[in-house]
Amino acid sequence: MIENKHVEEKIAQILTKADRHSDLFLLYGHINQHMVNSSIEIIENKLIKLKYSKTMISKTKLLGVEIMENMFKHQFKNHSLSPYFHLSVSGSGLTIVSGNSISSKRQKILKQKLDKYESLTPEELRVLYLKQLGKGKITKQGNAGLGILTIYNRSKKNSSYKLSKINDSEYYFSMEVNLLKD
Amino acid sequence: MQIIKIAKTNKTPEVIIDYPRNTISITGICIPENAHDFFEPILLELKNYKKRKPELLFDVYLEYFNSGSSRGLLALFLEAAKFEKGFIKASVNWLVEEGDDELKQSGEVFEQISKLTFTYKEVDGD
Repeated sequence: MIENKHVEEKIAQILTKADRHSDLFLLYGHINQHMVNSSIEIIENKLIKLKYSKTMISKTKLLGVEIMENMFKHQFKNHSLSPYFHLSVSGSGLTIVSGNSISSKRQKILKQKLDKYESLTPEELRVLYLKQLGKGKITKQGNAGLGILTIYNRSKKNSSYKLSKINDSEYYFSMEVNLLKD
Repeated sequence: MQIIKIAKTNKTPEVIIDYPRNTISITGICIPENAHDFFEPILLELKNYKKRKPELLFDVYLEYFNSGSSRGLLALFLEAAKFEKGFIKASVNWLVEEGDDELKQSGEVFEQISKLTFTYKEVDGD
């Protein structure tokens, strides 16, 4: 039984609609680093079969990795809702939709960052990315602090997000990233 | 002068520091669980390298990488860029599959920040 209201409608649509060819990949449930490789491999094989360009395949892989890593690195430990990652064909491009629980504390930091990125033009975003990449260091925990900025910059700002409060300590973070055909 | 090899895994690339050939090659997927732990030993070896060798060529051929690895790669390139100030020549061969503009653009980002000379080479990925 699917209990996550943020994704159950989407999964129901996928399972019932006639045109299932537009849905390329769906991951629903616990996600960890080990699953990233195999997910990316499946996605790559599908895109090769569908004759997407090398540029589009690389873009999807690079964004997919970043989104999945962001999901499991910032997943709220006592989450009540499972995460999901969905890749589909949309128009002439591809769309990635993801969702995962985060803590209230993380929500505040994230919202601040996302609102800032959304206020910038793609060029301003690119300049900010270069600046942040150039000045920062990897923490001993292995974090670069660049995940969301990388997603916004690499998608040329064709990204949007939604934060929904679940309870006082938990929020659900949903993201949609559109990859336009080169 | 030796050859140092780090074997590739399903999350990390093969790294070969080849002192006789003056090259460091990085090949494969680069999404280490901890980018600091993966890149720090390479960075330390690179600091030793500059005391011993007059030139350095990176051969980088990555399938995909995460943002932690972007920082790690850039740290290597920035360290190598310091060589240039000491009159040691450092440059990068950035290899991508034919027609892969996305990964090529990633190389251009590193080039822009590090100011190293990048040469872009297309390889047949099939």
